[in-house]
Amino acid sequence: MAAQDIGISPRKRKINDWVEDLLNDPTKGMLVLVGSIIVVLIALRALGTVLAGEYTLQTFVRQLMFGLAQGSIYALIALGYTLVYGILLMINFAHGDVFMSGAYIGFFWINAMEVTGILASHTWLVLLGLFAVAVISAVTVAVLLERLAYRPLRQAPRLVPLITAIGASIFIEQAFRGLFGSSPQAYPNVHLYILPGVFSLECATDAAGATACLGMDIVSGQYPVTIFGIDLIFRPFYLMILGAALLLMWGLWFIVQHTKTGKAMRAVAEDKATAALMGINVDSVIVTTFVIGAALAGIAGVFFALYNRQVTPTMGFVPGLKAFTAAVLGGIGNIPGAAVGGFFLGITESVAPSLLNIPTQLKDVIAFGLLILVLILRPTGILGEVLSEKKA
Amino acid sequence: MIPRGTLRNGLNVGFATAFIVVIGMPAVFAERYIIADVLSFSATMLVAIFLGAGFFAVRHSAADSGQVKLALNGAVAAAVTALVAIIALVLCIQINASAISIGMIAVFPNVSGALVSQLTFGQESATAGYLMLLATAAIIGALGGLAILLPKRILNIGAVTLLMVVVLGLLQAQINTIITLVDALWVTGAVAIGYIIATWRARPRLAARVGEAAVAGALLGLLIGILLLLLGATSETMPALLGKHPPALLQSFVLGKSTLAMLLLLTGVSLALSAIGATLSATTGSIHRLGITVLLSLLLLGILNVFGKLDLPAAILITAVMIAGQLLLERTTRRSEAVFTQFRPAEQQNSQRLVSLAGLALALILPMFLTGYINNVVDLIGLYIMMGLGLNIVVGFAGLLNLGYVAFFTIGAYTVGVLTTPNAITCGGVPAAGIATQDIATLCTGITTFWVAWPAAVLMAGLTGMLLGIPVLRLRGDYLAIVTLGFGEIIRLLALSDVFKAYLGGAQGIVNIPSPVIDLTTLSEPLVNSGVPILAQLGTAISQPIALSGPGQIYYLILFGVVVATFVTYRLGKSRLGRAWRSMREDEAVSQAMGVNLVQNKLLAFTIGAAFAGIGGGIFGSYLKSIFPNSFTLLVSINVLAVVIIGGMGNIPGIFVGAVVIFGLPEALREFQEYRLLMFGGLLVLTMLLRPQGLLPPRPVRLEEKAKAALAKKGT
Repeated sequence: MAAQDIGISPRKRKINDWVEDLLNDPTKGMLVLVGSIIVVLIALRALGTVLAGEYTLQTFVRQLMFGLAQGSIYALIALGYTLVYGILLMINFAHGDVFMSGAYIGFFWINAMEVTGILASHTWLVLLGLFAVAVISAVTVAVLLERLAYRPLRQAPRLVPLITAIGASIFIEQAFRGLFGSSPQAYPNVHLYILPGVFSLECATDAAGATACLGMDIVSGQYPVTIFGIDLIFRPFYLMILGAALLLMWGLWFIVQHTKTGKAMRAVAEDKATAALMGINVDSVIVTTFVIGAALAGIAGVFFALYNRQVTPTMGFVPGLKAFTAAVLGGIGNIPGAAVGGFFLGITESVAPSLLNIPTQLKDVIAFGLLILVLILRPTGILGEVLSEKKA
Repeated sequence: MIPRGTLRNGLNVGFATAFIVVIGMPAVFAERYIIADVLSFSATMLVAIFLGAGFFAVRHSAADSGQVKLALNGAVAAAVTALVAIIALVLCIQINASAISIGMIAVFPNVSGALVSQLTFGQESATAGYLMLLATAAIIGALGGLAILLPKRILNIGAVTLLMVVVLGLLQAQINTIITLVDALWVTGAVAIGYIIATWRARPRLAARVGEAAVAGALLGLLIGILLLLLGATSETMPALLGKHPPALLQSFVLGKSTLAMLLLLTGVSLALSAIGATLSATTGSIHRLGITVLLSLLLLGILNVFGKLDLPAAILITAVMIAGQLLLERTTRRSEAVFTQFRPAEQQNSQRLVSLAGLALALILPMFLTGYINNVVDLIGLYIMMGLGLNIVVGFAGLLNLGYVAFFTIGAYTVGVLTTPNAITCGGVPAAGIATQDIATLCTGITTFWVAWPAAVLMAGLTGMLLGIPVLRLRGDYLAIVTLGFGEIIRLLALSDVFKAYLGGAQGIVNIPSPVIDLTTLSEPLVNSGVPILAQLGTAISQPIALSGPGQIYYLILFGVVVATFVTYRLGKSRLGRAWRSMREDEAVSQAMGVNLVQNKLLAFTIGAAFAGIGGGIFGSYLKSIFPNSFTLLVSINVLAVVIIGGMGNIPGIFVGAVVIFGLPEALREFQEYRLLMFGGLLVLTMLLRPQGLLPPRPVRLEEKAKAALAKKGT
């Protein structure tokens, strides 16, 4: 830092450093230039579509709602990636399959409840049970994974655990396929009605002429509403996902920042050896991290399965990859970053195809293109990464 | 009395076995026989598991603990293994039954009656069957426990022999026509004569050894030829008397031409074989072992050919030959190595060259001996070797994890596809009005021929690699993995999309890709008119363009690619660049301090690796004749990665072994396809846990030791 920088606000100094850095490294400068041009072109194209009247506010709000729900799921999975990366500096490639295993084992629970009729009579309890089953399965898989595959490799060069994780990911997928067959399993159509007194929805008139209303179906219901003159299809389930995700994220943030376990996690992330000297059981902290990440993934898996209505052994791959992208977008190791990255990716994916007038087929291209673009322009992610200096 | 270790061992193996059982492996492999009608593969698998459980349970026991104790421990471990598997099986059957009783479908669809009867020896009562399984496990486990008492070299020989029998048994239907026993005996005999003459005369110089052996070999060939003539063979029956081979190509030159030509051929081949034998008698340990193993395998294939299938007598004979061969190998390898070290450096190099030449000659005649299906498998192995070598540069040398390697393969394949395939554009614009797809091929040709498109494909792949590399190579290693993975998906999705459908065909891909054609017709006429009989014959042979359409012909293209890739990798690995890569892999900061330009070197590795994939992709397109975006999924990248990792990162022979072991075997066996990915995943994890350097790791080059050795030599 040059002498004249003293007295400049830290933020401005950071920007100055960045500019200086660019000038010193012409290739990097070129890359940023190319990246910026791409961003401007994308913005122009979006503007063009909007001005041409091909993109209305209605479409936008609809896509935004879907994007938020999708983003919540990405964010919940991304938290698992970011937690593990923060502590072990490894991409837990098999995390997407942990997500899958929760939803997949959950299927057997809800299927059994459906055929025995309990689902219809005790929907609340069954759904709670579904979350419990999914969380327990996902946690079991994650703990086994950590114990059998990752722990022996903690001192190995970084490429080794990464390859192990890739192998483990394939193995879990194929093990599920071998155990439970390769055909997709269909989740039942769940109806969960609330507040029949408030919402006069799903009403039926019986033979006597009396009208009984079931209330709002917060899992499968779709209701046309008009807000500020915009016609929308309101899906309460989106709101449920979003609410649950925000709640869980707040919970996680609370654990990490305000509990003893969280403090231990942060200490281990900073320096394992010193943390051990301070009397922290590093192994158990790492297991806790995997457990928390897996529990969040299990919950996300249930939401995903209830929405998509089917589970397959390979269903974890793409969401897992997207969630990792989200974690990197937000800044790896950074918990609010994972949330921001998740929502950002979810919304971009849902809004961008029609905003930029690109076929929906290329949705995934947008996600991965975004990843490359962000890594070129801002490798530390939107909110910056939180990694201990000596490891990164 | 029973150590806890034994129980834990039994439990661990038991869980793995339970998994194998519940996914239905024993039922799937029940019909695949190792020894015809005697021993199925699933039985072999279980025997191996119980033997292993017994063996590994007592591995750490003191050697002086009594035989009874060893047997007991082994038996308990194997019984526990079997028990865990049985409990899991019964549990799954119960779960299935209760699921079905409440109206669900079976939870474990692979747990079937066939599976149970497979494990219970077909007994009526399942309980009796399970008890029988337990007892069998205990007996086999006890044997496994006792096996630890055998000397290590006997154990090694036994393990290799059993492995060979299993491999031969698995592949018996595909490989029993490769070579006749007469041929195998002739080949091994000629090599053995050379080997024995060289060892017996014990000349210290390479030229003398090989020369003497070659003369002996030539005499042998001549003798056989004259003997055959005396027995009344004519130039036409002579090849038949020698078995089916030497086949088509050679026969077409000599068959029915003259007895002299036949004699010359016999003499020449025998001479070459004996020279190889002499070379083998003085070479490095690994080459000696490899050479003898190849000969031994030829003999085994010959035996298999006589029996037609691997039945009990054949298995016994093969086991005997295998054991004898290995005993022989043990005794001779050291001597061969000792002679080799006495050679002058130039002679050592020449010896290596002779071996390479022999290897190349073997590779050249290989497809003539193989059937179409095995040829296909060999081609696929070749493609994976090529890609493995490329990825080896990126991952093995430079330590950059590239998970989007398939992207460059795709680009190579599509470049050749687009450039060589007649399509609507070359037929007069898009859309080609009124031209039916099947007519396109007859109406027009592709933009260019394969021979132009292939280098273009390599160039395109390399260029894309470079363009991708510039932004992403600054990233940390694990980010690189994800970005490349994303890039691989992007390329596939772009090929799949409707946007480029007019050019790349969308989901329908590109079909009717023409085979590469070798067109030497312009040379034909001068050759025919030259007056020399052999040249004239050659001229007639190339008067028509030769299309490399079958798997046996495209093989030569792949061979060419593999040879080029191997050579380039070998030279790069030894170059300054290779050393820079390796130092970068070990420690980036240190190598940067030593003056290695990180970004530039990484970019070079990335680009060269991508170009290798382009070579493979280019062939792949015209080999399959049609390409679809969905043949280029992430799995291809994972497959190549598995070849590199499991074979041995950074080591060329490792790549070959990796491709053959994990690609050749499952590809040749229908039943394995189902479990191939499972096997890959498991093997990747196990390799990383138990043997991170792979099956055949590179030998570290220690210049220090080399220098010391050189100094020591100078001193004496």
